[in-house]
Amino acid sequence: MTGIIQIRILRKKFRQFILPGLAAASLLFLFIKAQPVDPDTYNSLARDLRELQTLDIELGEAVLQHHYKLLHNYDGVAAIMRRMQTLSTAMAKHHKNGSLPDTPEVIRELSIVQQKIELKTAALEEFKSNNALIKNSLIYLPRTVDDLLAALPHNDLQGHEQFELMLRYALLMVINQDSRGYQILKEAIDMIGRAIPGLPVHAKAQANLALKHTDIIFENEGGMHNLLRQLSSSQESRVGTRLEQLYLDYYNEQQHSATRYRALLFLAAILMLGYGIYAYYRIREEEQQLRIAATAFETQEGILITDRNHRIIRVNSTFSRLTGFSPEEAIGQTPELLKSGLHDKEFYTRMWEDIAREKYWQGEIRSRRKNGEIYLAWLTTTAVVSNDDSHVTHYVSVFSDITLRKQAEEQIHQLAFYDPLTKLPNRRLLVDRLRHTMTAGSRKLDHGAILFIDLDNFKVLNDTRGHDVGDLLLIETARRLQECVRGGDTVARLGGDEFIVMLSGLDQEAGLAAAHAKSAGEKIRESLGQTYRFRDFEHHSSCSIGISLFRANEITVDDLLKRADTAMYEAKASGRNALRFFDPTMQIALENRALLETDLRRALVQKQFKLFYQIQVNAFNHPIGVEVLLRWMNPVRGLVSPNEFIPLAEETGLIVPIGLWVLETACAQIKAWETDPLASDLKLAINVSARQFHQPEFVEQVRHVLSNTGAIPSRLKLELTESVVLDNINDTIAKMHELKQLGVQFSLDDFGTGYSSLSYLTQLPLDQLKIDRSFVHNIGTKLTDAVIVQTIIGMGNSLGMEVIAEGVETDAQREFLKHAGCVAYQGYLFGKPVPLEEFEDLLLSSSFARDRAKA
Amino acid sequence: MVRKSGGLVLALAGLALCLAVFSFWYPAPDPRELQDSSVIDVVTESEQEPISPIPLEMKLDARKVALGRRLFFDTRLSSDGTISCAYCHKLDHGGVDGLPRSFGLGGKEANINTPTVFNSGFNFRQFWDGRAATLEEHVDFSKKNPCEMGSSWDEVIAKLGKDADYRRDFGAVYREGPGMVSVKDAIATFERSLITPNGKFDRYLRGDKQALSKEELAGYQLFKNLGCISCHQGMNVGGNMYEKLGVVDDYFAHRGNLREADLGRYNVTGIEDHRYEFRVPTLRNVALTAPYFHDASAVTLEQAVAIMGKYQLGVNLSAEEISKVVKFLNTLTGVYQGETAK
Repeated sequence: MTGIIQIRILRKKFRQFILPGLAAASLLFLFIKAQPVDPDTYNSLARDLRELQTLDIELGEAVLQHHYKLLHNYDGVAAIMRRMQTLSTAMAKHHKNGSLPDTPEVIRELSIVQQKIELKTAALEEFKSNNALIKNSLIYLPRTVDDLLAALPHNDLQGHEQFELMLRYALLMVINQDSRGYQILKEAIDMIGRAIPGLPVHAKAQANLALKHTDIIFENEGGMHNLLRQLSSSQESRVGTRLEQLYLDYYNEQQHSATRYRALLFLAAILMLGYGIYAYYRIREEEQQLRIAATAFETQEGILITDRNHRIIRVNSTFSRLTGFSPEEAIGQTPELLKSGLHDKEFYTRMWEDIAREKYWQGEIRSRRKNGEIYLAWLTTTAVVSNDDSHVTHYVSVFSDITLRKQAEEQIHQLAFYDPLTKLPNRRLLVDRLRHTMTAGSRKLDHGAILFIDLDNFKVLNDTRGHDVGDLLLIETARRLQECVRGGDTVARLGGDEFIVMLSGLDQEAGLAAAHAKSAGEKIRESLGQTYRFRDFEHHSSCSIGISLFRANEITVDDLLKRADTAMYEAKASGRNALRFFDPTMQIALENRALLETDLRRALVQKQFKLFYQIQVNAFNHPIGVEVLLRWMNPVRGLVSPNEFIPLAEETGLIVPIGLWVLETACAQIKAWETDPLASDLKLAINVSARQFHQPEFVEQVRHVLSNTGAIPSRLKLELTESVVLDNINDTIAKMHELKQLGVQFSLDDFGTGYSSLSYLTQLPLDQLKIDRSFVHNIGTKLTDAVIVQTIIGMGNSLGMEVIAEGVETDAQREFLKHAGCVAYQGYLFGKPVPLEEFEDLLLSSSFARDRAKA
Repeated sequence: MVRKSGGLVLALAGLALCLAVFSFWYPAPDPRELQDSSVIDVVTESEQEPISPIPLEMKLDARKVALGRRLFFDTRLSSDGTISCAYCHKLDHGGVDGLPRSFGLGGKEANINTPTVFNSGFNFRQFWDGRAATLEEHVDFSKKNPCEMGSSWDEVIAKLGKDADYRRDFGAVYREGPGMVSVKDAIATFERSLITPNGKFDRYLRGDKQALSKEELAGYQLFKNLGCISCHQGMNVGGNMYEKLGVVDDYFAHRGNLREADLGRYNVTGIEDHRYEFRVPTLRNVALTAPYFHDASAVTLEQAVAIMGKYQLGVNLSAEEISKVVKFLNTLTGVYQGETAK
């Protein structure tokens, strides 16, 4: 593997460096080879060679001239020889610097030239010396012979002749370069040598001198022929001829090869030019591509390119726009520059592992702008590999800022599946999860549970404190709910003050599962029952919880939710702040309720409603008023308790026509009693439901009924519960004042059970406070309630309101109340609610009793 | 990548074209066109006289001459700093020191009489035995000879290199500064400038027939007739050949006490024929360079002429003849730096 890569790298290096290098080197080689011999070199070498040969010839000539005594000055030959030596050295130099070819033949020839010059030098020196000697001896020999002859006895004519002829003849022969001359000279020397002993003393010296000179001539002239031959430029002694021939051959060869290489060089040039033109057009094409690439580079996505060491080498303008870093700031840095610090080390390690493996990575990444802002980017990093795939050369990263898109997506998701206020899953998501839980999963056999949670009296808070506070309560509730459940459980808000908690995987056994669900529910109830602390006040709340168990695929989601809803209503019905399980009996009760509603609607038409009257007395048992109570006489059901049908009527809105009927009937009764002395003073109190009271035309209705019936308004007393008042406090106050102006009286029913506060109590035009029966019932048994009763009475008295206690059943209660300052009573102690006939009888009897007492 | 290699290819192509075009344009020499070079004109004896006059001036680099002059008088060239070239070659004494044998380093006596430095540039070789082919070689020999300066080049160059003036002046002429080659070249160049032209005899040779007296002219004729001219010819009246001392008669046998220096050229070549051969000395300024011969055996010119006649020519010259020749020899004294040489 590594071997292959190495080969690839080698091949790449070969293409990149070695090939152009080889091309350049071969071009240079061709160029050098194409050079002909440098003309200066050629000139100097050829001139030297020619001069050497010329000098050689001239030397030979000059030496001959000296020999024949035509020249007398050796400066010339000395100069020639010096010059020849210089040229010999120059030849060696030419050879050394490569002007002469380095062949054995040339080397041999060079040494021959040198040798010849050395020989000629030696010969020349010998020639000069010898030539001078011969020259002088040839001067002195004749003189000496003359002197010798003069010294000879005059009578020795033969000797005279002999010496004279022989020597002179010999000299002539020498001068004529005749080989015979040497022979004669030799004979002359021998002759003189033989003759000397016989000569007179006087002649002997001359003879010796003559002998000496002859000897000198003989000695020197003998070698002269050889010297002259050496110094002449004869064929065998000629200097440099062969060398010149060698050089000329070499030169011609050089020129020919240069011509050949020149042709090759020209061919190479043409080829390269062709390739150059091809390359030029390819470059132009590439540049076109590059321009296109450069345009593509400037897209709406940020692009950054790094080298293999992750150094940024290029960025586009969008990069700068997105990150805030200019190209100058970014280039040379690593992408660490953009690190948000929000991803752990492992994230980057995984990312780079992916890139190394896949050469590609895509994903979301948190990144940091220059100004420190963190944004979410969609990043695609691609590794660019070298041509031979051996290694990564660059990394190209393309990214876009998807913060806004992501936010929008999240928002859409939130809107679709979450409640914007509490951030809890909404109904849709809940249903989805429920469906998921119920259809799938390994925990099929496990029971799950749905807790339907409804806040008690949420409406009251919303109305008294405003929706802002209501919202705060909901948010806090959501928080508490989430705290109460396990991680896998779902808390959802269905809307309003309704929440659902879905618990899954509780247990296979229904009983145990129910127990778990119950404990979870209790935990929630307790948590939601804790005090809520808002900005400037505290709030107490409670909740009603309906629980329904479920098991996978046993029931539809809708039915499940209905069951839980039903159970919650059961809890509500049981007095709130309670927890109820759904069971089949509940279902039946629910169906009964539906039947009840049908009957109720029929009841009004069929006049099945009756009014019962309950007397109200003062401390002296005198009747002071009467509370009108609605009763439903159903032919099948019999007498139906108001507790049973009033909430239903409220819920269905039937309460409004029913209420109107009550009002009309009561007013008609006031009118009827106008003439009855026993009943003409009685104030008639009727209960007004919230729904009835808050209908816009309520005041008009009352006015209308009063005028229709002709009843005295001051005899009509409307009993409102605290919840009616608080439903819409402003509307309530306005309507009460309007009715008050008509003369209608008001009583606040069930006082003490709600959250009434003095602040609004004073604003209401109330005539009467009615102490709730629960307090009265507990008088004597529960001290706190007794205190509350006393407080209410005190408060009512101080506000100038009449206080009446209902549900008074014993004398002790009456005594306590009387003692506390309450002087109006209602209850079984004085009379049950009874039909009109019975009531009128009661009036009569009480009147008797009074009369009796009076009497 | 493509851009880069494309540029490379274009560059190479351009280079190749340039090379090709250049090599076509490049002029190749034609052997036929080569002109014959000038060669030395051998016939220098246009006047048919065996002696030629000394040129009136030498064309030399004045800076080198000036440097050479300083070196010539510089004792730092010797190992103990006592001896300069001028120590033996006194320019105000005929280029010699007038001693039979000069004293070198530490008072050591040389083995041979000092030849004159004047006109030495015209000699075909240097020293009595001709062992130096050039003046440069002569400087080398003298430097190393323990009887003369006895120093080495390293030593000399080191000493001269310390002299800022030398460094500056050498630097102006020679690229290498003061070094062996440049020092030798400077000294030799200076020595080549030591010429004595325009002596009486040269003036005669140059056409001034009145330059010589009748007697002097007669001396010259005698000089020629006697055969002195056979060796003492040329510009330097000698100095261009070797000759044996004692041709006709045995000089050394008569003188006795043979020494190594007497062997002459034999000491250089080892060839038997070269025994007793010496470079024929120049007779220029000969009147100033007594004593004479390599062994300083002749104190006067007359003695020298007589010895020459006896041993080289085999004649016993008469006093009259000797006188004539000496008269001629006196006309060979030339002019150095505008003044008759001393």
